Amino acid sequence: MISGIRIFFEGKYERFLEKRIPSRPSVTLTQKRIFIFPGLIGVFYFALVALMFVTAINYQNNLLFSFSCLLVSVFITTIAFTYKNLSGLTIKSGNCDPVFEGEKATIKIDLSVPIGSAKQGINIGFSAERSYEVNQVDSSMPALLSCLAPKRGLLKVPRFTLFSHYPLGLLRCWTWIKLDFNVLVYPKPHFKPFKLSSNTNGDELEYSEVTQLIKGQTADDFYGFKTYQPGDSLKHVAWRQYAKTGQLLTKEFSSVQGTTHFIDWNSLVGMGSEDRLQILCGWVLTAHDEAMEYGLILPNQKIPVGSGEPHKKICLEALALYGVTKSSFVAGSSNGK
Amino acid sequence: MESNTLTRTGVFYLFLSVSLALFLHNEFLPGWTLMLAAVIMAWRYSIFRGIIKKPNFLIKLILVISGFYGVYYTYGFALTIESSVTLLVASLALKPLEIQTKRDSYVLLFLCILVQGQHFLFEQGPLAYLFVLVCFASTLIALVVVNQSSEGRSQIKMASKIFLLSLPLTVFLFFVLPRLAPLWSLNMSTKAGLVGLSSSMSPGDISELGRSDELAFRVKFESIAPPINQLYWRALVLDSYDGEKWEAFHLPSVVWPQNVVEISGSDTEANYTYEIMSEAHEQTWLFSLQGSKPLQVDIGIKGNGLLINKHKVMFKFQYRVEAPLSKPTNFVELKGIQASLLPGTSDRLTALQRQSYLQLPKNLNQRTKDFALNLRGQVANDLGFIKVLSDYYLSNEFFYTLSPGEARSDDRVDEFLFDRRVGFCAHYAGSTVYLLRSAGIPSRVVLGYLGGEKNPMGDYYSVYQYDAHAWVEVWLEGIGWLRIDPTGWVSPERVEQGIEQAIKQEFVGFTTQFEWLNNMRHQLHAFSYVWNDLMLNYKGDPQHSVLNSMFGSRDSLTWGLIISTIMFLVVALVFAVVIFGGPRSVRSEHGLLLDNYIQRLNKMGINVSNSMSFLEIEKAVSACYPQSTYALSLMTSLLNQTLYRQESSHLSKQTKREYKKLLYRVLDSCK
Repeated sequence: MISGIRIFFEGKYERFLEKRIPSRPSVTLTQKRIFIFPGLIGVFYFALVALMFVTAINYQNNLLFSFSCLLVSVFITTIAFTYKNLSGLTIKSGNCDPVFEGEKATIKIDLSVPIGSAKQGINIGFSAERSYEVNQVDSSMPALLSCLAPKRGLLKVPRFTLFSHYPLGLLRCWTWIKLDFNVLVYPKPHFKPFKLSSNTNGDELEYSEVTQLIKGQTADDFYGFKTYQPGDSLKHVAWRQYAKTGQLLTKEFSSVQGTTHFIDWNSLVGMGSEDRLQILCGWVLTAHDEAMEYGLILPNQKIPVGSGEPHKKICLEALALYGVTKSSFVAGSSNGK
Repeated sequence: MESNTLTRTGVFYLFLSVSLALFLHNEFLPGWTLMLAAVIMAWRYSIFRGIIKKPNFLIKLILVISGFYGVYYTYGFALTIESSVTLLVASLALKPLEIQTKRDSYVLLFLCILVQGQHFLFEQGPLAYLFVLVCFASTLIALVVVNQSSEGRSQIKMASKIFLLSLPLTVFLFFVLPRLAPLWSLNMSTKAGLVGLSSSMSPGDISELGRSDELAFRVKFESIAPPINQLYWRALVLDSYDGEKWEAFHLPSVVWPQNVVEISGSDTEANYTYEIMSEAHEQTWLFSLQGSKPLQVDIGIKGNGLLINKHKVMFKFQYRVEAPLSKPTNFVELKGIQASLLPGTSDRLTALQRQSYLQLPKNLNQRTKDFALNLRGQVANDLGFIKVLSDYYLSNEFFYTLSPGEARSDDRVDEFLFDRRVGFCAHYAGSTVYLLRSAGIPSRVVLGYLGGEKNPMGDYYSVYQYDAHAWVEVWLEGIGWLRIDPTGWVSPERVEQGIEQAIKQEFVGFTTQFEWLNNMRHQLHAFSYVWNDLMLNYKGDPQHSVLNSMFGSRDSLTWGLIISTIMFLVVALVFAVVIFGGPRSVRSEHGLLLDNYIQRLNKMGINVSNSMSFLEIEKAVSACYPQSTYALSLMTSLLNQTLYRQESSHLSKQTKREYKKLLYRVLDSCK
C-alpha cells in the first residue's frame, strides 16, 4: 500500500520534473530548475537558534538576542549563496563511447560555468546515495557517471541529480537533469559459427543460403603458423598447439584478405529479429577480429564491403539502430568530431 | 560523501574556532577545561599526522567520565550557569578527539556557536561583543572549509561575504522582533561572588567595599538633578543589631503599584524623574532617592520607602523612577547640624515598628548606653540630642579611614566610640544609631551609595562600588524621618566631594593628573553608556514609539504589514546582491585584450570595430599600411591562440608581454 503510494507520488514527481526540466542536450540551471530546502544539518541549526532565542528571552539578554538574530540572518543569506552556487551551471552531454547491451556505459557530462564564478562542492549521481563529489568547477569540468545499458539502440540515460550543500551545509540545493545522450548500445554479441554469403565479384549479390560454413578456418585459408607476437589477435592463437608444445603460435591465413563476405540478415531464417541481430553482431566482431573484408546486409540497408575500425563501427551502428527511430540520433556524432 | 573529508585547512580552522570559543570563557571557567582542550587538540593533530593511533572506545569513555567528574569536582551538583557552561565547554574540549566525518565537524562547530552565545551571560561589554563576532566569523570560515571541495583562499572571502551581508538583516531583526517576557523563571546565578553592598553590615570587620572601582549603577536625570551631596541612593534599611552585625530583621510590607501614572504636566517642576541602569547584583533591591515612586510595573515600594524588584537583578536592569523634589524648606538647619527631612513619612510609627527601631543587644556596650542616657538628660529634646552627638564626634579626634583594623573586644561600639575612634561610614552610622536607640530615639541604619561621578560627555552620573555608604535615619516625633550623616560630621569631604577626596592616599579608584587621560576615560564611559542604553536595555516598547515618531501613529496590523514589507525588501536586496553581484559582468581578459587592440588601431585612424573578425581587421589595416602585413599576421595568430585556447579565464604574463611587443611592432610599421 505504502509502496503503491510512493510509486504514485514518484510518478507524479517524474511527470512534474518532465514538465519543468525536459530532456535536452544541454541545460543551464536557472531558478526554474533549482530546488532548495534545509537539510538535516539545517534542522539542527534551527534547533540551535531556537535554544539561543529561549535563553536570550529567559535571561532578557539583548546581546544573546542579537546573536540569535545574526544566526537567523546567516541562514537566510545562505539560501542565496547556496542557490548562487548551483545557478548558472551548464550541464552538457559529452561524447560517450558506445557499449554493448548489458554492459555499463560510462557517460560523460560536461559541467561548465561562466568565467569567474567557480562552483564548489557539487555532487552528481543517479540518486543522492549513489553520488560523488566533483572537484571545484572553475571553467569547465567533465563528470563521469556509469549506467547500465539494458537495451540495444540508443541509451536512455535516466534522470540524474546534482546537489550541493555549499557554503555552510545548512541547505541542500538540488536539481534533477535529464539529458539527451548519443550513446549507442550495440546488440549483445552472440558468437555463433559463421554463415557467410560470399560474392567474389562484389557486383551482384546472391542471397544464396549457405555458401561457406566456417568453423575456425577452412583448409584453404589456413596457411601456416608463425610465432606469436604481442598485438596478434588472441582468436588466431593456435591454442591446441600451445597445449601440446607450450609454445605460443599464431595461425596465418592466406585467403582472408582477398575474399569478400557479406554478413547477411537473410541467412538466419526462422529467428526473432533481436536474436538475428545478436548473431550478426557476433559475426561482425569475429570478422573484424580476423581482419576479413565484409559487408552487412539488413532488410532495409546494405553496407558495402570494407574493413577496419571505422567500417566495424558503421556496421555495429546499423545493427544497433535497426528498427530504431533515427530522429533523435545524429549520425556520426558518436564517432567524435 | 560522509567519508573522512577533513583536510589540513579544515583541521586548522576547526581548531581555531574551538580555541577562540574556549578562550572567550577562560576568565570564568576552571583552568582544567583549557588544559584539557589543549591536550585533546594536540592529540587529535597527532592522529591526523599519523603519529598516534585513534583512541579506542574505552579511552573515550574514560575521558567523558573524567570530564563529568571535573565539572562535579568544581561545582558540585549545583546547577548554575557556570556549571552548565563548563559542561558544554568540556564537551567542546573533548569533541575534537573524535572528529572523523563531516557530521562530527558540524557537531563541533555548532557547539562552538552555542558556547560563543553563552558568553553574553557573563560579559556584556562592547569589546566582548566584538570578540564574539570575531569568533563567530572563524566558525563560519570553518563551516565553509568543511563544505568546500578544493583547498584555497576563497573560503575566507565566502565567509566574510555571508557575514557582512547578514548584518543588515540582523540589525533589522534585532529592532523589529518583539521581546517576550521570560518563558519560565530562572534562578541560576551568573557570578559566584559579587562585590558591592551586602545585605548586612558589621563595622567591626574590615570591609573591602570602599576599594572596588566597579560600576554599581548609572543614573540619568531627565530634567534637573539634585546637588551631589543630596544624592543618597537608598538600597537597604538595617534595623537589627546583635552586637556584631546590623541586619534587616523587620520586613515591611510591599505595595506593588499596578497602574503607573506619571505625575507630569503642571507638576513636573516638583519632581525629579530619573532613570537608573543597575548592574547585576543578584538581589532584588533597587537604588532610589528617598520617596521615589517607580514609573513602571513590577517594581514594589516597601513600607520603609525602598524600591524592590520582582525578580533578582541578574543582568543589567534599567528602570525609571520619580522622586519628589526636596525643597529648601525641607532642610532642617539646626544649630549647624546638616540633616534632611524625608518627604512623605510623617505618619505615626506602629508599636511594632517603634520596638524594632529601638532594638539593642542586651549586656553589651554598657558604656555607650550610659553615655547616651547621660547626654540625653542634658538636653531638652531629641533634636538637641542629635546636636550634642555631632558635637561629641567633632570635638573628639575621630578619624575617617577605610582600614580601621578589626575590633578586639565584644563591646565593639564602646571600643569605637571611646578607645580607637577610627573607622568609616559603617562605624559612624552604626554607633550613632546605637547612641540614638540607647537614648530612646527610634532610628535605623541605611545602606546605599552616596554621590556619583558626573560624566560630562554623557550627561549622567556613574556610581561606583566605592561610593557605597551607610547613614542614619532617625524618627522625630511629630516631624517624621530625618536623615543624618554622622560620617559627614567627621569627614565633610566624604559627603561634599566624594570618597576620592576623603581618602586620597588610600584610594584605588581612577585618578590622574593628566587631563586628556581623564577625558578619554569619560569618552569611554560615555560610549559604554550609549551601548548599555541602546543594546542592552533595548526593549520592545521603544520600537513602536520610534516607529510612531518616524511614520506617524498606526495600528498594529498596519505595522505588521509595513514591517513584513521592509523585511521582504531587505531579504530581496540581500538576495539580489548575492545572485546578481559578483564578477559575472566582468569581461574576460581575452576580451579586454581585444578591446585594447581595436582601440589602439582606431587611434591610428584605422576604422576597425569589435564585430570584425581578426582576418577582416588584418585586411583593413594592411590595406592602409601594406608594410605592416607581416607583423599583422603574427598578431592575428597570437590573438587566435589566446582566444580559442581558453584554458583559464586569466592570461599568462608571457602572453601579455608578447602581445605588447607585437602591438608596438604593428603600430611602428604603420607609421
